[in-house]
Amino acid sequence: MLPFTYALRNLFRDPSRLAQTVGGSALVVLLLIAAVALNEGMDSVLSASGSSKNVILVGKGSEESIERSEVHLDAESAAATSIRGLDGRLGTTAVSGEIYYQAPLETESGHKDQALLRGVLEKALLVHTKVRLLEGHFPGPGEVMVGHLAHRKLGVDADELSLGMPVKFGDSRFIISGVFAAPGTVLESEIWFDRNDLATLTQRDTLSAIIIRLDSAELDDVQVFSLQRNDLELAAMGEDVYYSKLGVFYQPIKIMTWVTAALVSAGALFGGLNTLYAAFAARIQEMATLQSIGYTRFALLVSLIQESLLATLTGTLIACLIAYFLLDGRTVPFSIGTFTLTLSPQVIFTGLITGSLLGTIGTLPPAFRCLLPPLPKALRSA
Amino acid sequence: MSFISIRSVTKSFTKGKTTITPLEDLSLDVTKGEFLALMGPSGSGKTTLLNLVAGIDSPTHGELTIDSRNIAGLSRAELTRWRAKHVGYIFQLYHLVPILSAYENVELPLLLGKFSKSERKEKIMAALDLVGLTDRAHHRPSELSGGQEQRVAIARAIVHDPGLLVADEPTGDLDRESADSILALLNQLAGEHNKTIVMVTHDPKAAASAHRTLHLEKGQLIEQNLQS
Amino acid sequence: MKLLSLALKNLTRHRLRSLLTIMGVAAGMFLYSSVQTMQESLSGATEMNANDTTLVVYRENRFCPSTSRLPEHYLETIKRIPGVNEVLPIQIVVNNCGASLDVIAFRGVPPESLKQYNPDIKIESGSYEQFMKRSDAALIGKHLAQKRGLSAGDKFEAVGVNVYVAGIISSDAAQDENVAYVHLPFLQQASKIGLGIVTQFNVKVDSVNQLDSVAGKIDETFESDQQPTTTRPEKAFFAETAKQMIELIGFTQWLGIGAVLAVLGLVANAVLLIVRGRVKETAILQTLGYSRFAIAKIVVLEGLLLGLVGGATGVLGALGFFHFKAFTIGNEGLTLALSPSPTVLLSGISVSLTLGLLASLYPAWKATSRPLVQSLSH
Repeated sequence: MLPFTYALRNLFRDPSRLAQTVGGSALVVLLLIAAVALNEGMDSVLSASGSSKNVILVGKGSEESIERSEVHLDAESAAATSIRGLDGRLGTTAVSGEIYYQAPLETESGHKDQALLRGVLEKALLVHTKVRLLEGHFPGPGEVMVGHLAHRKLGVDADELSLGMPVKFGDSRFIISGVFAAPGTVLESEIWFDRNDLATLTQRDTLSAIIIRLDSAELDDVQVFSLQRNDLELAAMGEDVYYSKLGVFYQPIKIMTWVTAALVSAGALFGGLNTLYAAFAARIQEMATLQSIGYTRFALLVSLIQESLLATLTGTLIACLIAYFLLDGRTVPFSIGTFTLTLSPQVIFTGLITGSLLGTIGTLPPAFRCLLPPLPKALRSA
Repeated sequence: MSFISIRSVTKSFTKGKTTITPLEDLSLDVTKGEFLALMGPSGSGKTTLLNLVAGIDSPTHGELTIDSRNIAGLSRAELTRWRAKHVGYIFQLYHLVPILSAYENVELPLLLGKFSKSERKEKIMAALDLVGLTDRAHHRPSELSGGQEQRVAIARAIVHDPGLLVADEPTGDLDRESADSILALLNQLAGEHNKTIVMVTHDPKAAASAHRTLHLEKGQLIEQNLQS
Repeated sequence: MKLLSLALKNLTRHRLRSLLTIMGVAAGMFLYSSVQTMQESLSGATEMNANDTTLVVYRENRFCPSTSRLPEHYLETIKRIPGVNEVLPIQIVVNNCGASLDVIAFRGVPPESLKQYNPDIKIESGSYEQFMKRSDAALIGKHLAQKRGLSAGDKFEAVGVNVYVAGIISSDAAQDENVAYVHLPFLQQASKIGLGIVTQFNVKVDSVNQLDSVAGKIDETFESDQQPTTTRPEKAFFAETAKQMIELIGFTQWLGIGAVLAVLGLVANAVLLIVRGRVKETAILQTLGYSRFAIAKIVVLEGLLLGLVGGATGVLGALGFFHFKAFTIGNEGLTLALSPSPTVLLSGISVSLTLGLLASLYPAWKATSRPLVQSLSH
């Protein structure tokens, strides 16, 4: 085998080619990391938001979007009494009738933007077990409780939505009584109202949905209930199923992300291949000389791959560093919530694999072209 | 027993639609320690013959025995292994690796064998000493003159102690003085170290320093000149 | 012309390199043209022009259609306002309010008013009579029909609403091609909103200068009602409502710039490689009598050709893609059809030509800047 220093020194033979290979692979890996992190972030917040122990009852026909759903108020108590085996605490059954609404909310500074509003009663905490109060208390009349990422969704600073600050819905004023966290779920971007307040504001006399937490009961039991009480026109589905269905809507946007990453990567790849072909073509004679000395083509191939890997893995490292400083921990607001970009081990691993593939498989075509010609011809090529 | 024995060797290859036969039914013997020069106009087949002897190419027909081994039927991989042990090649344009020092260039054939670092150092310094360049061991080719580069190339060609040296216009790119010292070196290698040398050249003066000169024309041997 | 044929021959000599460069340029220009298509479609939907005489009356402070509930009886009051030509009550039911590529929107309108209100609607297949006859009939815009593979006579279910496809329509108004028009009472019942409630009123005024005054008067009328209104010209309404979509498309502008830079770098790299590999040859041409300018021209021509072929491939690819795939972005019940236009084609080709030219300037200069003697002995 050729010494490693040969591969290393060859890299520095042409500084502009080195810069291009490192830069090109850094770009490709960065794009891939960003796309994977975006995908993962979206997926994980959707999957974490829905619990398999929760069942949602919505109006029949509105399974795809809670906002349009209308559920009769009576259904809440009917569900609580008719279904056996539901979770509960201190005598209260974990059945939470809620109103879901999207409407503009105005902060103290006058900034107005679309917000995700949820009208609840205290038993909502029995159902949304991931919710933890960070400070303050559950909202009473005239009060709201904000998720600690809600400010990202509204596009304002965190202190505008801190304890004691006012928010305006239309002409009505509310004071923030509490801030909550619900790690990894879309709930963190929401603003929770007292249900009766929200009902009055939105002029609704119906609920959007009823969320039930199961103990020994199963989804089937809830479905049986919805069939028995046909008059209420309800449809039951697992909360996790609901959120995963929502994920399907964001598929096209994910596809857009991937297509962009693929197109730009393709451009970078083709440029890199061109450069490699030219660089190796200039060394055909040298490769032939080494073969005449007695080095096998395999040994030469290994050396060429060593060279490329050094460059592409350096690019990968740079990409990971850039991603760490620019992307890690960034919150991205999207329609129903906010998700966080995380450089999980999976993401880093994808970057590493990509960099390695670029250095190995990407080098093969130019390397073959360089090593395949018969020796007499190769020795004469300038 | 000849060191090199060539029997009815033909080499032909197709270039597009035409078939070219640089060598046709050629036979030749070379004894051990002989310094042979091959001359002829371009297209005469002398470089093709050289490449066959060096194990860089294979004949289409015929037998080619070097140091009792028939190399005519060896595969590309087998030829590579054979070359690593038995041949040293000297090129007209030296073909040194520009990013390696003289020492490292000479080291290249030894890395294919199983020598320790100290064993390698011993052999490399011996080779450089023979060509008179021990003080330039750590210079890169760009820091050497043409003559010096060719001597490094020769050191590389002999460092692994091959029985056969093959030279393709070794003095073609050198001034008269450097050319003469290279030819003297080759003579020394043939005479004192018993290396068999086959050299292709255009230069009659270079041919004159060899033991025997063969002329090729259109793939056929036509004349032999014997020198002392 | 002989310079052009020389340039062409040079490019075909290194087929692999030319192919790789062209494919890279095509990829970049595909992205660029896609972004341009989106930007253009958006500006078509949001920028006002002299033909815009439509106002949209919506519930104040609301965006998602399910949250805007206006009493249908507002219709009579609005009709009586001076300057108002026509009023169309519309109930909108949509499957998702967030910005998404897979939006289904139903528009419930009084069936007899549809033709009168929007005479530009052309029936491509099926019939208006069929639409009038059945209460569950729907007229599907041709974009939506293409996306879902629908033809006249099919049954179609979405958002909990079951309809019969009475016809496929096309229209100049972009919104029409992405929606399914159904009977207003049918939709009010099927969506459980209830009879007597609509999402919005589309109001046609007599002339474009009256837009603002009529809008003001409408909002004034209902200011203190249970359901106060906000009235805006249709395009302004789109711009203010579909904020998420506009943000998304605005962001893609950066992608377009990135694509252009990538293509520039790619062609520059390719032409530089070309020049580097031909130093001796270029010198020989010069000794034969070709001027430095002629040599530079050949290099620039090669860059232009690479840019042109790659650009044309990418641009046409993008246009074909958007034409056959019929993409629509939806947000808050509004839909935007991403349709390719001749402007995108022209801008794409001219951009790739410009990039090809710019990218070759430095290599062209480099090709002839070395002293001749040096190049000959290379």
